[in-house]
Amino acid sequence: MPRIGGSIFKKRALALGLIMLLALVTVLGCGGGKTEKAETAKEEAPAQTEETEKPAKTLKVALLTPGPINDRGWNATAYQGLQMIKEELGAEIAYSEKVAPSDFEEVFRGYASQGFDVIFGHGFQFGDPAMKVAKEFPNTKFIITSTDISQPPNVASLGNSNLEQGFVGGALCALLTKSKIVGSVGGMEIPSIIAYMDGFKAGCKYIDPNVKPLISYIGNFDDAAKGKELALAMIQEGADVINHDADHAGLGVIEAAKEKGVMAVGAISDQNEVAPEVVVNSALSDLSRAYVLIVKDILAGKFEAKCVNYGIKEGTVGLAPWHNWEDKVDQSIKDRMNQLIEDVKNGKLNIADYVEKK
Amino acid sequence: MGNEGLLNFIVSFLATDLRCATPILIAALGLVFIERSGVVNIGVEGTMLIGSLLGVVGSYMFGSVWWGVLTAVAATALIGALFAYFTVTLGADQVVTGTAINILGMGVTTTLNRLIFGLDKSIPPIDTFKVISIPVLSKIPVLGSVLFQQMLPVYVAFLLVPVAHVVLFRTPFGLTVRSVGEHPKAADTVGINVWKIRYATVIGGSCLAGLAGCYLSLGVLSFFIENMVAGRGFIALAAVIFGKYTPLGALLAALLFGAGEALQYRFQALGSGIPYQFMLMIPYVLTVAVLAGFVGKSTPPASSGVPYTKE
Amino acid sequence: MAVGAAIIRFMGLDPVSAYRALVLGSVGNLNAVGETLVKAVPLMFTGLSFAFAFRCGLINIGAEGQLYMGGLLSVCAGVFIKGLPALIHLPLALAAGFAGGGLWGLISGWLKTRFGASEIITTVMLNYVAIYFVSYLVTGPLKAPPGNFPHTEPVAVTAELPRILAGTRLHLGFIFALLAICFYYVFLWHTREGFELRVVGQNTEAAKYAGMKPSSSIMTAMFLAGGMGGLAGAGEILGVQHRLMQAFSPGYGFDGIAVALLGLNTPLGIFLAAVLFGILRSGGNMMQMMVEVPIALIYIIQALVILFVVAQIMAKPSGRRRLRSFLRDFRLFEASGGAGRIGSRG
Repeated sequence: MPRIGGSIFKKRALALGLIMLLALVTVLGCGGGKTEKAETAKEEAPAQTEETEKPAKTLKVALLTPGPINDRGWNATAYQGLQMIKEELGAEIAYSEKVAPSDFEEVFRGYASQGFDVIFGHGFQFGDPAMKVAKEFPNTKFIITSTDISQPPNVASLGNSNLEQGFVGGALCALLTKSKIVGSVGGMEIPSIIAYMDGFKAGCKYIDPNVKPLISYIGNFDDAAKGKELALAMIQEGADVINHDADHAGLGVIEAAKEKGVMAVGAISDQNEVAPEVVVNSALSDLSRAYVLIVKDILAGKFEAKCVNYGIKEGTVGLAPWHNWEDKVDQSIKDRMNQLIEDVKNGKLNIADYVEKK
Repeated sequence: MGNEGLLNFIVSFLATDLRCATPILIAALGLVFIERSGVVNIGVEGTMLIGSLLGVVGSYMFGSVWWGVLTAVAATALIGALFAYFTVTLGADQVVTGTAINILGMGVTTTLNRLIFGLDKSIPPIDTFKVISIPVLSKIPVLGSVLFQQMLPVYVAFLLVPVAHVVLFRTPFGLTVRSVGEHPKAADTVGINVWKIRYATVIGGSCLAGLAGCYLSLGVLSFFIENMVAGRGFIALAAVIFGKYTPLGALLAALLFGAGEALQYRFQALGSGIPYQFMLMIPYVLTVAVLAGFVGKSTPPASSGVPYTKE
Repeated sequence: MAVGAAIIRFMGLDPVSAYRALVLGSVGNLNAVGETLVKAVPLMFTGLSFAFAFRCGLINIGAEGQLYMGGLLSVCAGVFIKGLPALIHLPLALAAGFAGGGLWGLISGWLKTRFGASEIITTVMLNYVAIYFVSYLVTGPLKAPPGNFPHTEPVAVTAELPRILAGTRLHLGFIFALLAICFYYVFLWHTREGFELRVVGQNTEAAKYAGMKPSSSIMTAMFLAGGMGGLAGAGEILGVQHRLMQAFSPGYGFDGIAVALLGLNTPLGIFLAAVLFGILRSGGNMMQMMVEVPIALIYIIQALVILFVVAQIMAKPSGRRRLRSFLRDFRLFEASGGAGRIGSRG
């Protein structure tokens, strides 16, 4: 096959050329990224100089997230917390996103052996590997969220009350509904979301036992189109307020509300800006503050290997501002929500009383 | 459930079915041509992903959904050309190249998405596909609102089925494509340029995959999120085989799968108490059951997956 | 390589240290080599899974699902059987994993021989079914008490695959993977059943004419393919993760397809390709950790490396001829895969 033999090198060159071209396209795109980065660095600079009490040695903090850091939900709050640690405490930060379960241990060990002082694992599933690796690195603190584990001297956890978060979401939906049917779409059955849904049902029951909560699951956190269809099916069933706890995929749920003109209640972060015309408010669950607090404790030498719980009382769970809905929502509803949050804070209201017994 | 309730249920069920089937169908139609010319393209998932993102980018930058579609189709044509260059010209393994395209799609879309739209929470408003009601026809009771109140890509998808059928089985071009897939050597000896045909089907098919991606990001939704295609490209591949490598078969397969999805959404909303994981299995189990029960054997084109080298 | 470097530099990062991270993270020291091989173990099994079916003219896209079912059964054996010595318990758990995957593969084989249903579709669809089934079990019946977290109890120590290299996570599964590759070679080229399987793969009609039973070869191939997928899951559970949870595989089943094809479905090729993919995975982790290369860029680099390798093999006349001679003889093939990545949240 003379023709082929002769042109092999040409072909190979062409192949490489093509890869180059492709790379070039990426490079062009990334050029923009560089300037963007530089800008943010500039913005951050003054914040750092203002910091008067800088720790003698720069603290190194790393974060492992199971999903993408821009999911406008669970993983995004962790990333935000990490950014706050950098800005407020002047720490050196690093993160690995979309870490696979088989790599948890390796990535923990990787950061720890590089001398990171604090490593966050954002999710219950990081517990086992963290406890294992922690034994090898007694000087590194491991902090796991969404669980209740601890292992002296250096593993602690941040529990977040998704039950309370769901309760807030459910109560608001139940107050808003006219049809007495509300819906919530979850990502997967994992502890935080199971607790959220229990809370959601409890919240509905607390406001009005006649409100029927519909619950569906997508089965992942990426498939926004599926999230939208599940929400549409709920609306078809008569739901007139819908909610989600599905991170990225939850945006599809809000999209369904937009299309059908029903109200939506966001989750985790303030999602009003996603679709101001339908997102009345959001059931917040923002651990980013907790991230900063625990690192502050570590800096002050007050670290304890225990589980710290956050929720309505600690201010990580609650409602967002009403934004453009300030005037559109009945004052009575707003009062009722404020009262509910107050009651939980001062212990008058025990959410567990309203949770379905299994 | 009263009579009216039942009717409502059927209408919404069919509408959901059409919506779920559309992206799979568009991608599958492109794949029918690719496969028929003897190329296996498992990179369609990544191609769709790139189409989804570039559709949003185009619409965002140029302010119109049509520019979005154009951008997406142009980008996916490039991806198609890349795939064709490796698999047709270089004769590289098609499945491995397809795998690389999928990983590449994930990387490119994630990078570009974060660069252009940043990491913040707001979603920029963009122009999207609108529902178009066909005059008169959309007034037909029941079916009218299902069939004739859809977005443009849905009409395009379903109109493309007969078009693809005619092109593939009734035109010289279709004959050429099929002969290249069945017996490239023979096609070559009668003067058909095997490589050119394969380039054409791969690039054209990739454009359709891009359009399918656009429908997801600009039709069903109005934004891009990472990995949003979520396996639909692979389902489209299965639909092509299920449909015995014909456009009509792909249509049936896509509708069947869509029906399974529509069913499980409804069951979940009804709250049957069955664990949701079993609901999520419905479309997949349904497909296997129908395949085993009614469809049976599906034979790929003879030269499927084999690179052709002129000797 | 230079291309990737250019991208990294434009991202405002140091390409030299990025590549050093890739190399150091994958082969730089004992621990890194260990990590690379830890990742190569499931890839060898899933590569073999694809290859076994492929040699019989079948396209098995179901290694991912088989991996889940294998993991499931091995964890059952590891958790619920107690009081056995490791010498019995571990083989039993591995056998359970093999059987779990094998039976799952057999479903596709049976649907193929009984109804003529394309194994490509059934394996793809059964992936999702297996993943959702495991998800149901770990959130329901198999949930570890007191039931706060959706994972099973850890397997008994006697069922764990012991570490074989001090200071690394490399476990005995690596030896089993090598043995499996040997088994692949011996079975296909040195046994009668393997010979029949290959003949069926090359030409079903000729096989029938020669008095062979294609359907029994197909069943054998799918059982062995599934079993290999199952061992991938069992190795991952018994050697690395010790518990079963949702979405525990980062797509090893789908990478296995590329591993097998890149390795030209030969024993040595599968080993080398699995190691290459292992390098990409562990080196990628290290790039993210040490040089803060974003994960998206790591995907792009991985894709470029695969394209580069595949173009290199094809451009070399010997590689090209070898590959073609392999492919020509087989009535091939369709493929797909890729359940949407699930489980991105805690």
